[in-house]
Amino acid sequence: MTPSDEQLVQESLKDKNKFALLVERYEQRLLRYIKRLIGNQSDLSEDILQEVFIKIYRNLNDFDTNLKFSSWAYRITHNESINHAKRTKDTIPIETDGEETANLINILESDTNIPEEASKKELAEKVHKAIENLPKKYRDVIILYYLEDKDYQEIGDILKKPTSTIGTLLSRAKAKFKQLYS
Amino acid sequence: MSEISKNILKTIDEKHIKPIPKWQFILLHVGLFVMFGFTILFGSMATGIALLHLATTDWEIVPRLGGGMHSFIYVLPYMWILVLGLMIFLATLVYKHTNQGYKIKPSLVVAISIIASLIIGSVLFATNSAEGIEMTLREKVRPYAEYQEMRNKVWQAPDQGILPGTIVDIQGDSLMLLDDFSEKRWTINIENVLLPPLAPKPQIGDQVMVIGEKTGKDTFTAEGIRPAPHMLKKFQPGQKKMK
Repeated sequence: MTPSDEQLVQESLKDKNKFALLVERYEQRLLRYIKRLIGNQSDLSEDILQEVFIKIYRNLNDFDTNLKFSSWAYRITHNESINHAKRTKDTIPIETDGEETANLINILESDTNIPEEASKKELAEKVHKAIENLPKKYRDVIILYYLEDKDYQEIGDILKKPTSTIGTLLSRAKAKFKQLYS
Repeated sequence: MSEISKNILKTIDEKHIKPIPKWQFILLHVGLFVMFGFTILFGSMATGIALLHLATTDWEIVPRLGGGMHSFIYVLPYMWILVLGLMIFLATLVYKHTNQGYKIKPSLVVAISIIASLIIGSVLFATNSAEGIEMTLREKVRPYAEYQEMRNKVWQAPDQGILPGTIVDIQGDSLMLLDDFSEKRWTINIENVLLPPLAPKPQIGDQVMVIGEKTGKDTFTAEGIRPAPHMLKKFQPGQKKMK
């Protein structure tokens, strides 16, 4: 039987080799999330990912079992990536692949009633641009909700905000997106 | 094992990285809750003392101070109101850093802190604990005593008919000697003073507020004598608590 994340946390405290299982379980998801937050800079993303896992390892005893491990790991990843962006003062481009962009367009289209007057390519460019121009607080929830498929509770736990605030932020993010898009 | 996993385990080995012990996190989280508790406690003390000042201020004679609305504002215990504000701010800040702190909106933490401070502060006021705390502060914290004395000077307004001080002698039913805050001695005509039927007669050593009219450089005619409000009472050495 596959051990749960929480079991692996407990086992990692006794045997650091077990931590490798947690790393393998989350490395791709967290690397993708880092790239979405800081842009597709492979080496840098991997460096940040390494820092994230080292931080997770150091803080294993602080893991709150009321949370999902994934929410906690995403929170640490989010903070490390944002700290990096603040240090380097980089502008943060959104990173999505073609399939994700298409999904995002479909979801945002249905959620925000985007008029279908343009080709998919034009639409993709416009969607990308609109998301890039969104204020960070709105972009964070859009990425987590639409691209990382997190629910309100998880987004709240990752961004350390009340769940009710996430609902408000998401609805404002969609309105702002629509405004930027049009 | 993936390359990333290998690198991470290698780094952990090379740098001898270990998980931070659990007790350190427990200490941190308990410390935050203790700090939160202290902010509520200090906020409650501030509320209790502010209530004490508000309840013992003689609002009827405030207009005599002659400053209009300014007089009302000046006599407000704004230092304690500021302390309460600061404690509510700190409570919100500290609570936000607790494990579950982000789940509650800051506005709700502010509301809870205000309500808790008002309830506990009212209990401190009603049980006279606030008075004890205030007197201890005046006794032990010299800058606070000086601040309070400075504020009290606004009440020393003989030209406006308000004269607080300590009775040093009573000569029959007609004269009374009183030392004001600046130790100036006043001779007060008390012939026309009408005390309420059940009010205790002023005694030597009482701290009082005489209401009336200045008739000379150091003479005053009293129309009324009231017990000095709490904040006007001066701490005297050896005195533990004033009534």
